[in-house]
Amino acid sequence: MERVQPKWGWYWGIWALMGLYMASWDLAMYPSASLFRMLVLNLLQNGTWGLLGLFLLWLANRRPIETMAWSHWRVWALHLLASVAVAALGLLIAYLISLWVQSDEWKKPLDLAMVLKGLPRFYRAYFHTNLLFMWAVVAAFHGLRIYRKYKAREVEAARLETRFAEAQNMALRMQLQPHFLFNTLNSISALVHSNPDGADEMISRLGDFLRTTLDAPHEQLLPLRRELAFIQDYLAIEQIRFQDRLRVEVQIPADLQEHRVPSFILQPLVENALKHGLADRPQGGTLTIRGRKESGSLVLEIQDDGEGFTPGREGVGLANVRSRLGLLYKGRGQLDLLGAAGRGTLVILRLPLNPPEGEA
Amino acid sequence: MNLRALVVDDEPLARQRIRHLLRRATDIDVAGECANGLEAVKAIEDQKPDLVFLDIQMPELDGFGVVEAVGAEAMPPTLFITAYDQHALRAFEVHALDYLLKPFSVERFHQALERARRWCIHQKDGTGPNLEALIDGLRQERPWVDRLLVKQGDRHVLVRTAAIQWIEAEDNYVRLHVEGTSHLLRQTMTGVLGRLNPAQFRRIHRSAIVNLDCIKEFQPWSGGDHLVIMRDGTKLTLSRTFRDQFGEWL
Repeated sequence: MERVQPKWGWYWGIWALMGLYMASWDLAMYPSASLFRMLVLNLLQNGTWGLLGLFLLWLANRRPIETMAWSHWRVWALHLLASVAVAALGLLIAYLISLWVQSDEWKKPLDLAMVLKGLPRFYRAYFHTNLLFMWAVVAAFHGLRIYRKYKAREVEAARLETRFAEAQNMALRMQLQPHFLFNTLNSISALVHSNPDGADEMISRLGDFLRTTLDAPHEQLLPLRRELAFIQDYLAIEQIRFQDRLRVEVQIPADLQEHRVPSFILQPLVENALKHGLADRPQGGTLTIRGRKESGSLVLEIQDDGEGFTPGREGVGLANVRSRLGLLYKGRGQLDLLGAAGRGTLVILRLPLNPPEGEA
Repeated sequence: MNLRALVVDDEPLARQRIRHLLRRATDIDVAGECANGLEAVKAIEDQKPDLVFLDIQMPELDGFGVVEAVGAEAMPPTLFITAYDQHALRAFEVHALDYLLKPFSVERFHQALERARRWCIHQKDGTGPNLEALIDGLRQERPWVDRLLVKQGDRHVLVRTAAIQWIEAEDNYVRLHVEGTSHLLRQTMTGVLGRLNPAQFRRIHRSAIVNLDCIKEFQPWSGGDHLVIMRDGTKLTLSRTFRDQFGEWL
């Protein structure tokens, strides 16, 4: 969480209003007092508290109260002690200001004995009110902080929703890609004569594949098993279309199948591998999807032995994957692309094994 | 005598489908099959088929690339086949060329075949559809290419334009300098420049075009010229005449 930037206009405005308010209170209690003196006195005192309050704000920014839990008692104690100290110091200065403003000869040095005599009474009268002010500062800070956090979360959730919708959209586009769809239908019309069972198989694969987006997952996360099933339907169709040109290997250990991954996250990666990696090579190639656990992460690799990725040429699909990882896993997910011209591309996707906050 | 047909498609099943449909056409023999554009160019030049079934979407060299490489005038009557290509379809309509959309019915196939047969007959008196106009039209829509086809002896080689470092004028040819080797292409400087993406290639001299990605630095030279130093150390001259295009850098 970044620092909370207080609204300074409000901060000083409220202290100034407090000053005016307290001046009017003093005037009500001592009608004979000078209006000018009361204004100066109260504005100076509240200005002092405002300045000291800055220390509390600074402290709150460094060590904000995150939770009500007992385990957090040190932070609570820290703020309590700081506010008591600040209130005491503020009151001492306020007392000196009041003596100075109220004395008739402003330039005459104060009599120390008299000062010390009045001090306990002043503290007894005002300390608790002053402490309340300081708590108000700390409370206002945290109120603002919680509000900002809440807003940021709302924005983030909306952003995540958008990226998810985009990914869904792209997956749908892949299915409805005219080239894919019409070429698949054309292949089926060839198979109908030469290999009716093959045609059958292809029609049911196409059906499964099209169905996947119709009952498209509405969850951001779904088991790897389902994500793979979707990709494998697609790949099976491509394999029949390109026959010997496309080889597919999927190596995912059984114990990873139920881990939840962002839905449609593999689709743009596989599509890229086919489109930029393999489709443009007459001799075709091999697409490998591997999964493993590695230090708290689920690592998924998509490798092709095609043309090789050219750095700096990332399309919409990859941008979407990156942005979804960032929003879902807050820096704990990662996408790396390795490649060299003519030697294929390796895409490495790292996802934290424990599900992200609020999505369990 | 039967017509000899060549079937070009990168998908084996698509070739199989055409072969299967041609079984009913007793006047046509399948002379060969090609799985990509390069093979097709070679087969057309070597076997000189009477009729070509040509898929448009293929790796590296697509159907139109094949026509360009062979030369529109040398291209046999061609039946274009596509799954989906809005640009191409518009061009076909404009130039009154028949085409097949995948997947096609038996009936539609034979109808297209009938037109192609007529084309084969008309070709002899030169009244067939105009492939040259089709290619010119498409070139205007898609002026820049990713690959250039160059002939090396009797071999055809595809050169990725991104891999071209610079291009040198050489009489009636241009020499493409590509990662340590070079290829001659029968083309003018203006002609080749027109096929390359202007965001990547710029002319720097009457006799030189450079790939901007391959430039390391510019050094001021005499008389308002600049020295262009390429990443591989080659030194070229940016003449005053062409300096304006680099206004943002120099």
